[in-house]
Amino acid sequence: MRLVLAAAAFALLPLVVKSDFILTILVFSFLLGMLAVGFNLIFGYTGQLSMFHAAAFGISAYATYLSMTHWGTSFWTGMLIASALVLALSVIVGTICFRFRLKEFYFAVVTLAFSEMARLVVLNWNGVTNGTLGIILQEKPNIWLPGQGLVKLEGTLMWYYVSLVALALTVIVCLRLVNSWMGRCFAAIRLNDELGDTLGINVFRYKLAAFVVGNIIAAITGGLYAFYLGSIEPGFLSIDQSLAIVAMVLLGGRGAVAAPVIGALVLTALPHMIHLGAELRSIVYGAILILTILLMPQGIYGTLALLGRRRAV
Amino acid sequence: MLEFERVNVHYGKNHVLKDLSVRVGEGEVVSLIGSNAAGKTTTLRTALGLKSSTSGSLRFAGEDITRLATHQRVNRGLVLVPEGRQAFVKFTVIENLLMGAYHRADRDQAQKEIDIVFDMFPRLRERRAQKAGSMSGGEQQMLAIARGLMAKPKCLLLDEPTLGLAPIIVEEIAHTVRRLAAAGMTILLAEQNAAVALACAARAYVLESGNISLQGESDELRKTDAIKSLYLGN
Repeated sequence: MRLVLAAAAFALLPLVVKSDFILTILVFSFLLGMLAVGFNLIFGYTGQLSMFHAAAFGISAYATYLSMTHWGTSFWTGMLIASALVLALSVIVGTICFRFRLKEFYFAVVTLAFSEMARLVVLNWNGVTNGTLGIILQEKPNIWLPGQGLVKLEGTLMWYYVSLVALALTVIVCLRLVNSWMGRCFAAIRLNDELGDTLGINVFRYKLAAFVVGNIIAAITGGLYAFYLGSIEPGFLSIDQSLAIVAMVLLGGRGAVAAPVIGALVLTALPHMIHLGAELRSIVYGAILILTILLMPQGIYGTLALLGRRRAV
Repeated sequence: MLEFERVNVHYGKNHVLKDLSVRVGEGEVVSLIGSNAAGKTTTLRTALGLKSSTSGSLRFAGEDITRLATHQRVNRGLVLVPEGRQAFVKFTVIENLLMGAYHRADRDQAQKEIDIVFDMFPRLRERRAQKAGSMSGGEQQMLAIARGLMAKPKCLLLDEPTLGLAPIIVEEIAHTVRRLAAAGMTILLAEQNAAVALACAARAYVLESGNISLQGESDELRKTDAIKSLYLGN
């Protein structure tokens, strides 16, 4: 119910807020929120700290663009191909990690290594990816609108609605997933995977499922994000990018499907609200994270929910 | 129902189970008595496929299950209640019970079994919305057994259900096992507490560092000197 209200409020917001600046921040927040919500399936629900997320996001951004230029596909077909590629890579990386029963720190390190491998490929494959310079994307995806037919997806307002709908769909899919038996098994694995084994839960399969679904959501976000931004660069696949997603989830909260969106909103808006030099900014950013982990380990959502419950009692 | 045929298990170079042959007939309650590190837990974990055997074969309900994965064995009705009364500590009692029904095709109609186990363990009914982690050891052990029953097992493997519990709770658990036995459940019970083990089961095996050193009817075993001196303390 609260989610429906929040979605409705955001849908009506552009009627009141005309500022392009604010709407742009919101578009980025929605897209990064989507990324964080997908990541939280792996991290918050199944309890696996994956560092492969930026790779899924970045690989998909490049693959979407490359299939458009090399095979002449539309943006949406390109995104589908990119998602299929990310699916295949996730199955390979996930199978390696989960077959060897890598957990916690070891899982994080090995996924990070795969992610860095992908980044180095992108960085050095100059002929295809244009290396460090990245790629400027001039074309915009077409979308079909009722009454108008196919139109170019451009302008902040259109992107605002497209990203809001994409985020809403992601939240709906994840909500259905975590409230199903699959979601119950994700949580069981997080709490006690040996006991899960004992009960006949195929731990390997569920870990892989969470990993693959989370990465596909990242892949879809990658395409949208790149084409909204209008450029792709190897930084998409960086450790910083993975850590930023972890930060969003920690700040927003791990315990609810949509909570990471709060983290995405705060961390995307913050750099624009406080005008600081780059170095000072990362200090402030880091301080906020440390304080969050120390003072409200449940994240903003979890802390508010706790306060709400206390008041109700 | 469940048969170990010359099963060998190693942990690295350690030979933990040596040519172990154990048989549990349908509707029978059999105990596995032994001290720490005798191989009781390994036997049960091997039965479920959580630990793989190096040689020998396992049969369950007439089928060779030696090569089956754990979830396939659970699907066939072989259910383990692990030692140390494990639970999903942040799940409520009801959620924990539901996880027990995970592999059942009719798992969404598990309410009937929830009612049955609540009748069996009224204390769990009182605590149904409570987090498992906030309950006492005895309650968690009952929850673990109840969760095992939620799976509608054909054969229940109980690993040290009385370990570390107060005598009155031990009595309650033993009573529960006997009730299950009377209802026709097939049970393999691993126990350090020989008095409980012999009181619950008609037949028992004594396990000593991976070997069966004694076996027979509980009544006869109770009279043997080895059992008397080693386990019953008189």
